[in-house]
Amino acid sequence: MSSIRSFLLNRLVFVIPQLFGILMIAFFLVKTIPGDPAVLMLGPNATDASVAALRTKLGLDQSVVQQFWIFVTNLAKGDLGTSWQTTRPVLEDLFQRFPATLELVTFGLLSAILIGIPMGLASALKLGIWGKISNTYGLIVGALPDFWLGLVMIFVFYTLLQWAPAPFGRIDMIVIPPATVTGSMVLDSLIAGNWEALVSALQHLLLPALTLGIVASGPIQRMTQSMVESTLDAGFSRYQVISGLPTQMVVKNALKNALPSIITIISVLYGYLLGGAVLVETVFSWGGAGQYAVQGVLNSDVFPVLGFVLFASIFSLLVYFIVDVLYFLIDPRAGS
Amino acid sequence: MKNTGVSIPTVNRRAAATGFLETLFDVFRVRPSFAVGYAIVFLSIAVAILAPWLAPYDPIQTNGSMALRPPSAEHWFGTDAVGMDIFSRTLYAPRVDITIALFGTTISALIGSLLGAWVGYFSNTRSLNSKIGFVVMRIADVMQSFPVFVFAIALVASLGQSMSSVVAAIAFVNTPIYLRLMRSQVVVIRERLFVQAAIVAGISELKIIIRHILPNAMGPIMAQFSVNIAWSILLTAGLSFIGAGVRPPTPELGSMIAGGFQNIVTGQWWPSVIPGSVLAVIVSGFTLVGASIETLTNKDKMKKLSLDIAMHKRGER
Amino acid sequence: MSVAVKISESALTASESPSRDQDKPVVSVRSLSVEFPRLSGAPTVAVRDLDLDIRPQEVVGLVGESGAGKTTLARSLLGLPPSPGHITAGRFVFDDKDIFGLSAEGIRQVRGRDISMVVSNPRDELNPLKPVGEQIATVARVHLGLSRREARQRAFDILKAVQIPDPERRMKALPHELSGGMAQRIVIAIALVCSPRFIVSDDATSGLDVTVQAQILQLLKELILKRDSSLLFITRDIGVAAHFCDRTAIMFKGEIMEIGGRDSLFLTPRHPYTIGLMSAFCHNDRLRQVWSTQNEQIEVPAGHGGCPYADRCPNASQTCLDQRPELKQVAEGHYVRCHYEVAR
Repeated sequence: MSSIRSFLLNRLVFVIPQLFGILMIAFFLVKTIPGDPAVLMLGPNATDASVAALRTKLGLDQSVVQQFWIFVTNLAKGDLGTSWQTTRPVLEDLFQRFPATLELVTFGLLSAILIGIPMGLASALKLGIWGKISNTYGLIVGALPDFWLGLVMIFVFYTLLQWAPAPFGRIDMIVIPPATVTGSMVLDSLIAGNWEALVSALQHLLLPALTLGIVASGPIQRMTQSMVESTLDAGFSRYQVISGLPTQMVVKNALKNALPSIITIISVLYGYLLGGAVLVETVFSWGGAGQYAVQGVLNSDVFPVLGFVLFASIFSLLVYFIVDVLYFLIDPRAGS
Repeated sequence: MKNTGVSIPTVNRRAAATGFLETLFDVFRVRPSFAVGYAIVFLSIAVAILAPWLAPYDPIQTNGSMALRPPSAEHWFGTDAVGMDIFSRTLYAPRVDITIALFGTTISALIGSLLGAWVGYFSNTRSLNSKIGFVVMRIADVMQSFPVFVFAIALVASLGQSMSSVVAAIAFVNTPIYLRLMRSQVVVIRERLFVQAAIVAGISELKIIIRHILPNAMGPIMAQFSVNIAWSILLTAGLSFIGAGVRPPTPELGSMIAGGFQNIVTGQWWPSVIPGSVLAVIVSGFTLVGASIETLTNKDKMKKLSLDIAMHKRGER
Repeated sequence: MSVAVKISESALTASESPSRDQDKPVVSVRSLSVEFPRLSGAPTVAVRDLDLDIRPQEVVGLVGESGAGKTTLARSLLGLPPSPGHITAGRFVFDDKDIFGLSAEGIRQVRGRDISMVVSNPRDELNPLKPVGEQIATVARVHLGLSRREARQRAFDILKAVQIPDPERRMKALPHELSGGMAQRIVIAIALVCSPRFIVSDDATSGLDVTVQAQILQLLKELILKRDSSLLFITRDIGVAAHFCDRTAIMFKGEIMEIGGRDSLFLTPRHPYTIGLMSAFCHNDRLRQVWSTQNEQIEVPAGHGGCPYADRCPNASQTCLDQRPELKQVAEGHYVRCHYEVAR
């Protein structure tokens, strides 16, 4: 047990400088984007004096290094700055939007796992026609642009069939949303026992989550396939066959050995999707944090971008952290 | 005598050529998806080059009276919201996407693998180079823990919206992938006997890396390269889709899909769905070529391939 | 508990039929051929038209350089030629059963129970996530229909039999916690746990220290005699074969070039390749030189249909290129595949 503690401590030591590096690069990168927030905020008719006054107030007249220092000290106090677009503190904006992204990505990833892993197994174990279908599926699906797939979904299920609600937001305008507890519409509706909101939230979630799920199931299928294939080819699986163990037993042991790698890939995908879901969020007007960050980049709004990068990085690190702990529980070799 | 002396090599070469074609044919018969992949890649590159001669209309010629016409004999893929011919634009569009992806990926592969070879060669030694290598790897960690898409958008925005900015963004986000891949390869190859022999023989480090290590580490890099082009095409299109890449009216698949976005809700599917399908086909082509290269460089996969061909031939008999 | 011990101990020591005809071979391979397809061109023949008999309690050595087809032969006997190879011809009769004629399920039941294999590089061949005791017990449970507890007991007994110190603790060890020699004993324990009639050892001791190797060989031999089994002992080391095996076969490019009893083969070797192998261990430089130089008088074209050793043989002649030599008896139980076997 002491080995797991020292291992995790070791991890934490690297996390802080890594987060600092991420913020630093993000800060200087976003600062080099042309466009003066003061001018943008005040509009084209502002006087030079008022622009200068606002610049002083925002700290824009100081050097970039000083600005970064101010940002970091404010961050330590829990202040992530203010978005000039929404004129609200970024922290508040993110608390509202990040759960939306998280809900979308989590449900998307869950469907990707439900589709991808059985298909990967089918192709690794060469289950006749299912194996071939899964092979082809994995190749095609990985090549689909997610934003385009979202559009096709909207066209088929909203425009043509009228099964899905209009691709706008997370819940019907006329439905009263549940009180925010977790930030997930689905969970909050469940907690509030608000069935109408639950149905509406699920309806709105279905297409975007499925879009992400289908696209992400491609890599999961292929990785599952190659991991299981390589463990089945490994010496220990071969020796089990040589020792005359039944095929199901050999396969079961191979799966147990392939599981850690599959979990790792899923966790990396989780982190990737947080930022990668931006396009799907845009297509479905999801109002998530990714969309918020992209608008920030396109409008020289520095703090929403930094806030999003910070949130996404912390979340990714958290996921990797949990995976490391899982590894410890699954693989006895990890500790030594 | 003189004549035979000249003709023998030619005969052999021809025999070798037919032997190669036969093998290629055998491979494609048991792995038809590889054939499909190469066909798509060659076709899309050919179309990209020949677009000016193939396209029936000027790709950026608007025509208000012909806006949003569905596919017809006149306009095979229909027209978009400002009356541009979607077929002509679709022929031109891969030029932009494939060029950007190709350049961006090539730059990242060159920089990433050279840097990775260097870092890998010196890793776990007690030299200053090893410490620099450690710093390089931590920077790569930081770059890879960024949300890729937001990072790319910010890069393009920072460099100014242009094709070369998109190339730079793609090169930037891909470099750590090659860095890591090459490093992990080199760390293993460095321990092999022929490299140790070269070190003992006193050959310079640069020469060892270039002559002995890089050629032996190229296999996985090549496979990654093709897969990476596929992914970079998707990224290019995604950037343009969100308005941070190539701007309309330049024919580009992502911005074409974005342009047709509003129309899809009202039922005009063709301005979006057609360029999107073309995008998916091109991307899958490059993915399949990547899979074929991976097979070529992977011993176990080659074994399976040979076995499948043998089984196929026996089945015919 | 005591009942379980009794059952398993009697199972470990008693041979099934004590009054077996000792001269009748228990293993009989006839004209076995294994081919590896290549991406283009003709397949590589890894094992060609091979015959081999092994009697009960007999240890037969199989010596050859890497690429001679030793491992391919070993795995093919279990119906599992290494990928992408496949058996193209031949029969393998074991205990009056035609092994290659069995169904997939039938041959699976034979593997590990009646015919087992000791592999080299044992740490890669053990499941990294399971305690080794459990891995041994699983094989016993699957093949002998034992309960979990009986199987555990049997695994414990076999660990003691292969002289693993502190077997109680090793039962719970994971493969990565064991030394190479220890892991090798575990693999031997897995191969022996069902008291198989025929064991194939594929280069199993080459990676070990010489002292450990000697111990393990001694152990294998004792267990084989005690249980009336047979052993095919594959090695690259002709010296080990000379010490350890009752008979030894010399394999080259998929064919047996010479086979004979210990005294006959090692005192009067007949095949130039055998002599070449032996002289490699010899301190006489001149001898080594003579037997490792090809006859330069003769030009060996690629793909000739003659003797596979012709391109390295000091005695090669035109006949060697034109005709494939047959295996001929030169002394009691001593056969040589050579047109000009070295006469004494």
